[in-house]
Amino acid sequence: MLHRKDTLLCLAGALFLAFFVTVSDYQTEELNWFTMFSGPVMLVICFSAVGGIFINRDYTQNTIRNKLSVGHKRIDIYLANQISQIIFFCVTMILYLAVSFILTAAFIGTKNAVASDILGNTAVCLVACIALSALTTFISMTIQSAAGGILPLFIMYPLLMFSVLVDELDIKWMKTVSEFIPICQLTRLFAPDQLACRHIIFSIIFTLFFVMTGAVIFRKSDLK
Amino acid sequence: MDYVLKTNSLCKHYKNFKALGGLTMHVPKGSIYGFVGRNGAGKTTLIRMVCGIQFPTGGNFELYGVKNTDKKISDTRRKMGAVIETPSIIPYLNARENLKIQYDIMGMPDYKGIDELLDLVGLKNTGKKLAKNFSLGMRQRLGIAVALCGNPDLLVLDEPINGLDPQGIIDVRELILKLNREKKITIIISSHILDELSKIATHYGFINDGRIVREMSAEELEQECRKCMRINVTDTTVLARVLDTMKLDYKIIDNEIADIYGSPNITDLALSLWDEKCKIITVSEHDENLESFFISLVGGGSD
Repeated sequence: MLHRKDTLLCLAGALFLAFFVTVSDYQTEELNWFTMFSGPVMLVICFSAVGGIFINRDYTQNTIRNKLSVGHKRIDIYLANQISQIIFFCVTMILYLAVSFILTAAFIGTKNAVASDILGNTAVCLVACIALSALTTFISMTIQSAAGGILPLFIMYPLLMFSVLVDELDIKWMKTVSEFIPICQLTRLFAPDQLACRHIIFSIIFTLFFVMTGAVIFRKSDLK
Repeated sequence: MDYVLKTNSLCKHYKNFKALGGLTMHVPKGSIYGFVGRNGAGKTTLIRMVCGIQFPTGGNFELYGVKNTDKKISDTRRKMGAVIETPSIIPYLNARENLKIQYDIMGMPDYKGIDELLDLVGLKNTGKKLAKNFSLGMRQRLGIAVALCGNPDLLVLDEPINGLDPQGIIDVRELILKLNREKKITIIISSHILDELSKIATHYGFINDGRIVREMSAEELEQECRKCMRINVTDTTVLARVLDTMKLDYKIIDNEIADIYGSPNITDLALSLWDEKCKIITVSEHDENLESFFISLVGGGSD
């Protein structure tokens, strides 16, 4: 992934967003220890696009054949892609959060920072990132065409809209469903997440479901 | 004979389409196996299955004696390299970087051998030129170089000369011969450019409608295609008797037509046939090339 300019651009974008969000919130006097969690929603949408296109490259350029014809097992290929996505999503997110943390501490100090709340939100955010990376890998590896690179990006929008609808309509079943959806969890990190453990468990289940289903489908599928 | 690849009644059925219908073939070790067939005959489907890109719906194959259902097949595939249809290269990287990526994919401990590979395929002096700016021939050669990473014993090339200019075709042909003769790599080439194939192949497999119609060595093909005299007579049984007496090599095509090899004395032959009350209707020189042999095997209809 390091060879790709879009990956590096994403990294630079995350750092810029951390700086921009913190400074602008500070200037409008809205900066607190949870405003940094407004960025991850936008970031994961970008990550899913870049990550999807990265995996999709194997299909559009047919380099997947180079892996299969030299004897790599399909499960290994799927998991390698999954791991590269997790590293990309998480490393970029950690850099974003680290820069945001340092700038927030520099602007408002650490006096009002409650370590357990910030760590809880950070953990929810990172595990949600892993879950969304699993969804991205699943879509890209299952669609196996140029569409598979872009589809993860388009999937994120309805999920995001669903999250907004949940807040607007206040319907119980929608709220329950949204608890399972990682991007919906990310939209609720503006305050300490009181259900951090539950959200982390849901994201882990989400991750395992998509990794296992994706690997099984990929193992059996005919490629071009 | 040692076989690198053996297929046994290999089938591939899609919903409403039969790509392979019980294909059986044998690729001898050290050969250049020309895989000849029309578009849609099943050449690429077979290659995809051998490379693990698709799965058979029936039958099986053995690669170096390891069955496709055996778990060891993945390890066995490390002995092979393949270029299927278009070369699988990364366009925004240069030749060396493409090979480095393939070395990484293969888990090679270092990048030793990349220079030798680039030299072998004639891309040593491409420097930082990106693969997307390469000519079709250069891309094809880079694809072959990628397939050669890890020193494979078997190289599978699917239509390697499609779309190449004459110089590109010569380059690829010479490269294939060099790999086979110097590095003892067994090569399977699928192609429908038969004239080109006939210059390099040591063995042939003719495929039609997902089945191997005939397998033969280049010598056998040469024997089949050698220059002969095609004679049309009233009775080929009599002709056969006369030719046996004259100790001539021949092949009876049907009741009236036969091919006679060598240079028979026409007067002697005509007189002998006259004695047996057999008339000669026509005599013509017959020279079959790979193309006409292929057409005679699979029929001349369109795809």
